[in-house]
Amino acid sequence: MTAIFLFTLLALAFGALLAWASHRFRIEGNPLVDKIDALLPQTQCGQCGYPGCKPYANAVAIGEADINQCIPGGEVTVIALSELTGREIKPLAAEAKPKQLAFIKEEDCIGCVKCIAACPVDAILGAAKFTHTVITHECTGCELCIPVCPTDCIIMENIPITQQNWQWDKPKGAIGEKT
Amino acid sequence: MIIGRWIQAIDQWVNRFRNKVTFHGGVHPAQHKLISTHQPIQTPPLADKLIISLTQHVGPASIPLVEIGQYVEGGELIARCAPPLGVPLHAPTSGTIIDIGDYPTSHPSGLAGPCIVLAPDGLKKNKAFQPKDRPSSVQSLKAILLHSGIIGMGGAGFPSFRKIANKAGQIHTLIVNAAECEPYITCDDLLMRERPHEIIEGALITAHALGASRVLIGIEDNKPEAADSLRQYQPKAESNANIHVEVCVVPTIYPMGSANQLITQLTHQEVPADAHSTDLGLVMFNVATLAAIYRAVIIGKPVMSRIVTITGFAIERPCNVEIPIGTPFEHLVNWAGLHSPHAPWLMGGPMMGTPIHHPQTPVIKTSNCLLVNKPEPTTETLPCIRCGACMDACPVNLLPQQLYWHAKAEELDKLEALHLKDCIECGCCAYVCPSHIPLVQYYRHAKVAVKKDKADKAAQQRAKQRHEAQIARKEQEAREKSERLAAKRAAMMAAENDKQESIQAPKELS
Repeated sequence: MTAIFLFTLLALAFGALLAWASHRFRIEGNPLVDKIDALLPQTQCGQCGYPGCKPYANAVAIGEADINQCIPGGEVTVIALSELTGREIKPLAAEAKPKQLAFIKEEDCIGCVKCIAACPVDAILGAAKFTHTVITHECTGCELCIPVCPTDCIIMENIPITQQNWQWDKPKGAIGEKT
Repeated sequence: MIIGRWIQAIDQWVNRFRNKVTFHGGVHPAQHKLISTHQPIQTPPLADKLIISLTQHVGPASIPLVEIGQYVEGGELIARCAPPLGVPLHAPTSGTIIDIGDYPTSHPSGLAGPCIVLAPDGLKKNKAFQPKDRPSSVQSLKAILLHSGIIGMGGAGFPSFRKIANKAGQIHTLIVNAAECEPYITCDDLLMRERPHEIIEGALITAHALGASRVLIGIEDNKPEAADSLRQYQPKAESNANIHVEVCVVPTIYPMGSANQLITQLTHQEVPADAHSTDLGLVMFNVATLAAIYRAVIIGKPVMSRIVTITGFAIERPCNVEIPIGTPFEHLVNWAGLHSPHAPWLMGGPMMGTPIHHPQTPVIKTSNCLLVNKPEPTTETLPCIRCGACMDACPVNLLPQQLYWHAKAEELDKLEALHLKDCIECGCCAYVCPSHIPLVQYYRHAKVAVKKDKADKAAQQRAKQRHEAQIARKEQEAREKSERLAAKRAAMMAAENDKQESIQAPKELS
């Protein structure tokens, strides 16, 4: 009888403690979303079918989206997401291509500000009826400005290799070794 | 030949125990220095064009101050420095600027870089140089270093004015790097033999301005003539007599000439990974840099030329030459003669040199050597046998084998944890590797990968912030718009009510 009483009391005490703790140390939002968001390339391109990286992270966290939909992230992101969520590695939903940057052909630009409204990271500078230009180091290469341009004056260009960003070739492996 | 090599190796080991090497690792590659020390420093004829690279130093490209077609005199300023790390450039000789544009440079990629092309008129007319007072403060020394375009001429290319501490007295010892440890290269050796006054006086000028009380000259024991030449020079009376100059003969081992290794050898102190030598009260300059400081102060002459070793078994007359900056290597090779036309050209020594992709590549302030050897039979890379020889050879106490595995797998976080950034790319590990693995190339590739990864992460973070800021801004705009609308609607309603009331009011009156 004493034992039952004692354990009931203990159970109530711990229950109260847990209830208080869950109230006191509550975390706003889903912590998994932020972890997933940190692994995404932040291009905000919408190629995954969601309006940005955070919404896609949210969709992955609640199990609505698959882990292979981030095209700019490539295979590396799929592997990282698989490690985080414990889901199986899948091939990328579409073929990945190297990062490119938007370039405005200024002679064709009519200053319509449509691309400025479309750019998710405010990387296009300009005003109505004035020529626009891309702030190269802020451009994420999301291509969202391409379809909205009425004169098709925005093109995607490869990032040129200069002395500053050039990288030594990775040596070929030893003979008979798998690369 | 082989017996001679063995005797040399045994001799080096005996020396090593007599005059102990105090840093870890190191290797003893065949020296081959004698082939270029038989002749004094030569002056070949001027090339018909000089290609002066704007990216000779560590830091952003210098900004041209001249126009195409302009006539310049030797020593005239032709490009100003781009802050914060640049140095200005001066015309190496008199002539006309014929082009400003991209030309092949000695960058290891072989990619073209911005250059000023000067067609010399052959008169070698220099502008009138103004000798300067011996600098008495750090600031005045810094100003001279900057305005004379002096950079680390041993190969680092780091602007010298940025290397020294701001406060006087912070530096107690000036170390002179006279080790010249890399095989084949003898330009510093010849400079010390022929012009000891430039080096010692340059060192005394520098030490005096810095408030240093001691000058240590670290010189390898394979250059006894140079060491004697430095010892025999008696400094002039006006040089500060309170500064103690010591010529320290150190054992011949590669890479003795690396800054931190020479500091360890001479002072028995190790420079911490996250600190600079100035934090220990030390500063190091190469002999060629000190000679440049001497000329900048005593004559007032900026860096216009340098001594380059032209050597290798494919060169007919290997020797050292003093040539204007910007001379194409092809001009030097044609002058010195070439045995085998298919031999690859290297800028620098066999251990750390980088290939020259284009014969018109010009000499820059840091080019110490042009090495042309007959092509060696290529050796296939074999799998790593985990022998650990690379670890024993590493002078920086890294784990080259671990770095190799992680670099191969592109595990960047692990490479950082193993201090890849402290690798000096000396090539000792690859030199001793029995499997001929090009280890340094792996590290060079991985270093850029780490740098790119960091830049990408920072860009991602910035993109995220900008996107979030945009969303917040759009939300605020929408909120403000709806508030404005609501206010307008309320105002309209109020106006409507007033109207109604005013219509109703007269009725009540009547």
